Amino acid sequence: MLFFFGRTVRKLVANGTNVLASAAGLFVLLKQHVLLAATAVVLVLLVLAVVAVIRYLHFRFKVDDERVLIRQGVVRKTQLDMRFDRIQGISTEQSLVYRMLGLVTIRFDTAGSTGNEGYLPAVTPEFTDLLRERVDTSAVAPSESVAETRGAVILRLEPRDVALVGLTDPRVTQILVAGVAVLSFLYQGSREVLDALFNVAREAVVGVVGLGFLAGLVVAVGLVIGVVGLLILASIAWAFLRYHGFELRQEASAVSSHAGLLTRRDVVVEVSKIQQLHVVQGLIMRRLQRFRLDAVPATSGNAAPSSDAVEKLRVPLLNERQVEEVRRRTIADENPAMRIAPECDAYVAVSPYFMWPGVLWGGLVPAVVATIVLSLFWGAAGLVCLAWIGLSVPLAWLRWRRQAYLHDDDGLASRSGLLARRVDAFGFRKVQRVTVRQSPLQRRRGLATLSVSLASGNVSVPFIDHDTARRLRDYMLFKAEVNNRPWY
Amino acid sequence: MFVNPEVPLESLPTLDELDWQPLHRNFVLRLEVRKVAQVLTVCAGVAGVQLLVAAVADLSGFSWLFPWVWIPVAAWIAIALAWPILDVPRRGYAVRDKDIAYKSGVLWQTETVVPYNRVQHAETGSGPIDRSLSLARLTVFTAGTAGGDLRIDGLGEDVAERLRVFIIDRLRGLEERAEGAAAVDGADS
Repeated sequence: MLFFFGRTVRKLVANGTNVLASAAGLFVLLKQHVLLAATAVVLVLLVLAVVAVIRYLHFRFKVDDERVLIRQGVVRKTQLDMRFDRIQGISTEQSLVYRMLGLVTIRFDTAGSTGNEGYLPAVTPEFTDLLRERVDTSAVAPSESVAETRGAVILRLEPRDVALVGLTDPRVTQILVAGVAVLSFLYQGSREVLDALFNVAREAVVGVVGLGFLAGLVVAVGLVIGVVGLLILASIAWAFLRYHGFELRQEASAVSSHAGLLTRRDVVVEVSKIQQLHVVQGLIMRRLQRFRLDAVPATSGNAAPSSDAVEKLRVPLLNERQVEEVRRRTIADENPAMRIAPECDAYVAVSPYFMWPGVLWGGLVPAVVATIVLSLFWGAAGLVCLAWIGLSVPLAWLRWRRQAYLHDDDGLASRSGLLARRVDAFGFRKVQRVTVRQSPLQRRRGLATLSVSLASGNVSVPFIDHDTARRLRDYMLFKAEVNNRPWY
Repeated sequence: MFVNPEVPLESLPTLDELDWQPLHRNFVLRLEVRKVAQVLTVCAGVAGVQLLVAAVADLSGFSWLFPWVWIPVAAWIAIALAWPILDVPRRGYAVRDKDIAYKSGVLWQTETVVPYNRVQHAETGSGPIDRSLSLARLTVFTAGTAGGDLRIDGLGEDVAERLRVFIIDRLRGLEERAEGAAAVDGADS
């Protein structure tokens, strides 16, 4: 069968790429004994092939009306049993080899804290559709407004948009900042190393091109710009690999995304299983009036909500109208009138006391400690650290400006961020646990922090009136407790 | 016919009028045992470091410092030993028809509520010292990430067990009702 063949090939290819690197090293080492090295490589490949065949022979799966059973393992045998109504979504991945063979890898996402996630490699797309239908029928009956538009494309990203995704990737900035930090650390710690490096570089440039010092400097600046450009290019290339031909589609009771240049990834999330929506807008995104949106179903295992292990539905770039469109199609059932864009008059600011802990623990305490420690070594020069207090105040103020919340009868949205802005929105019905917390400062000022646990992570609204927090908590509990529809 | 009348916010039940149940009397003792163990560890650590420093380096000029180190240590010991006496009366739990609530904290005070229809499972547990004082803890697990659990330490053994059975019973009853509701929904559409 195709399934068996595909799996073997996959194992071979996966192991093969690992082996190739070491094989290259081996060839370099054994230049004189090329024949010997070649035999060794062939032998290793053969062993890997045998292992792959044995492993695939021990892989069995079974699908019946209620569940999927996956049995695998040669020495340590494991059996995974998943009921359809507990499956949060089915996602597929298609690598280049699989695409040539017309196969996909299925990943099942289940809620719960066991960390067991099932995957089925090398099955046909038709089989995937069959499984999806099973999951659909065991899910809650969809509302009519959603069901009518099957397979309709909600949004599509053009190559220009994908390039923008790469350009606005926060990782570019992060790597740049990290690079600058490392360089300045080198500059502080061991100036000789840096000087030596710089001299070597300059002499190389001067020697090769035969230019003066000024021209050398220009070349150096050009080099820096080149590195930055290269980073941005790499980021754009990554964006194309991941999001080329991105399409967001409305399925019967689910929303799905399809994207990828070489490896195609389909993520399907049942609308009723979406726990929360994130809308993020970085600095560059803000200039372009674009957002990034994640629809997060219940997380499985102990994965952090931000990690990629959770199969969340990510729309990397969309404008305000499209945000509204996606919101309408995902959580409108739960919260018909919820506003989730970061820019909105309805947001209620939190108390200015929100800045105090930031200034105290982020500014005052570290600055004083650093001053004391450094003064022991450098004397009065250590006082420079006190400037950090001055810097921490505007930072805390910026964070306070971003921090806000808004709620209606069915849900709540909390906005936060320092430079970027992020909105976490959820429906009250999805609440798992509610906590009202008061620090000594908050108690004196009659304030409290409301913190809500969802199956997809925590959302908190800090420094609001204690009474408001308690009223919100009671209302949320009321919403969660009177509704008997399952939350998943 | 589906009706959804508006609910006046004032009529919603609040946690404020709750009758918080105190924890078991022996729990103070249990915490004191833990604190004494901590105090002994810290004292041994400080003394060890002092001996080590005195042996390795010649700090005859600083030897006056050694006794003074014990002043903050003594202050910390006093606070640590007094803490459970302040802490335990401020903890409490409340069992309601639809949810279970727990409050704790002396300086940072929290009140946590978990509705029964979000509970995945509940468990009780106790260590050897807990058992000798007839104490047990109850943990209520909700879905998703590890942070969504509610843990109540220092319940009486019988209370913890009764609570666990009660919560599981509630869960089962609610699940059956939810299935009934889903069936009605299905018949409607």
